[in-house]
Amino acid sequence: MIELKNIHKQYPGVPKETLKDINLAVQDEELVCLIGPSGCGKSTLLQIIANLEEATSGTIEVPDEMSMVFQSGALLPWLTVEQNAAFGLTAKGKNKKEAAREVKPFLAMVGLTELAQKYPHELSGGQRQRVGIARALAIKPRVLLLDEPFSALDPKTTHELHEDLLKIWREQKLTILMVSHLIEESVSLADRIVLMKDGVIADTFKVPLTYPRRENGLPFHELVQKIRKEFFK
Amino acid sequence: MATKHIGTHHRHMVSFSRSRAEGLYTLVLVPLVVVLVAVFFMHQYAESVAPSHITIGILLYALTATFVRLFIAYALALACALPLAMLITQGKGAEHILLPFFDVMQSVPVLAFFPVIIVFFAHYGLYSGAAIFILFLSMLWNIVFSLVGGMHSIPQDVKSVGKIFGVKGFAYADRILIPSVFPYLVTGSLLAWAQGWNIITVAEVLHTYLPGATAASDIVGIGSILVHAAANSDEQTFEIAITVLIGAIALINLLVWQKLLKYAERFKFE
Repeated sequence: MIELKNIHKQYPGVPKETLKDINLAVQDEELVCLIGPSGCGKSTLLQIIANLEEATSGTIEVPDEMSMVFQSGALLPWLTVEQNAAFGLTAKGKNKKEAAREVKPFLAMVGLTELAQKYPHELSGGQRQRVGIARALAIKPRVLLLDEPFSALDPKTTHELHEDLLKIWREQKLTILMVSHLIEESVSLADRIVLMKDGVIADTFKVPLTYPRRENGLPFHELVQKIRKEFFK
Repeated sequence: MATKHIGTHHRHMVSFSRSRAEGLYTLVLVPLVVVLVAVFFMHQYAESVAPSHITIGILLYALTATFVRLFIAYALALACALPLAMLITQGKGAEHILLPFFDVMQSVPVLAFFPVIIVFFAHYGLYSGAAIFILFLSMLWNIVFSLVGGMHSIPQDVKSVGKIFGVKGFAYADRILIPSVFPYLVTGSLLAWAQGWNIITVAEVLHTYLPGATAASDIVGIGSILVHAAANSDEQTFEIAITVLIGAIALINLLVWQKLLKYAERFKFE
């Protein structure tokens, strides 16, 4: 479980607070999407949870086993797919052979077994993002944080990765907190959607739809409209 | 109220495993430097003055002596440049103070200090030391500023990968920082060597700066041979020496720099 209490964030020299009194709890095995307009503080909040940024004040409770998928993939260009995916394992002190063996099922999970010896520049955007996901999963996290992971991908690849993410989420029993700027994406993936505006949580929406979600169905469309209304209010 | 992380984030103890780059350093570079330095100093004692009758053998020895001086100066510059660049990029405060300071230092012509440097080293009989020191100074800033540029170009997400997976300190330098700046290191090193070759005709001709000194005070090298040949209107020696120098530089460019530039491509972020 992730629990945030009274989180504030203010950057030095900036008069306005980036985050104001954020309270949020994410239950185990829940998939929550953080959405909001640019500059609303959603990525800052994710970075604070990931311990990449420090909050100015507040309390954070997070499990030990946490991993992250980045918007750009953030792969190391001098490492092969296999070595990139094994990065977290070798960082823990596992030797290369052991790490390569352990990472195999995760590469298979994201459909990259055949590309294990390729370098990032030889991959498509979607394949790179899959490597980032395999790298994050390889350390067997309980919580997976995703920072707009599909924003630079084409619709077909995004749809495929959505399906992959949902499959991984169920199989690995993960708790997922994902930042997105797309309402439709959030409705098709999340259990719960948290709308942030101007550094505060403006609203929260439960998504009562079953998987797989029909994006052309009426309940899906109605929920998107409801969130959109609040988003642009 | 301070932030309190009740849950403990991952704090991996990173056991350092030897990388391929380290292997390369250990197996190739260290013995190479030891051999070159040994050969260099053996010849220093055997022949400490510029030869009057130049043979191809002497020319090649002179070229090796110059190369070793450049190599030692480069190794020293590299060893100093990396921590300096890391110091500059530590934080905005450090960068705000150090970058303008180093920028001024870089713009001061190193040769202006050469007479003082020679007098200092000559006092201890270290004539080659004076040449190496001036070569070191002329090489240093090219590498420092290239590395600073490289460190700035590391994407924030990539730095975050290090933090997320608990890679910090020496492991961070080994696994993320040095590979990330490798293309910039190669470019900076290429420029540094070019600068070094540029200065050898001054660095090896010490008698100009020493009161009452003669050509015997100069150190043997391709630079001093070129200067002596020109001063003595020895056109043949000059032509052969300059051909050997150009040939050596072209060969090094072809066998070292071009290969390194190509290899560095794989370290570049898109």
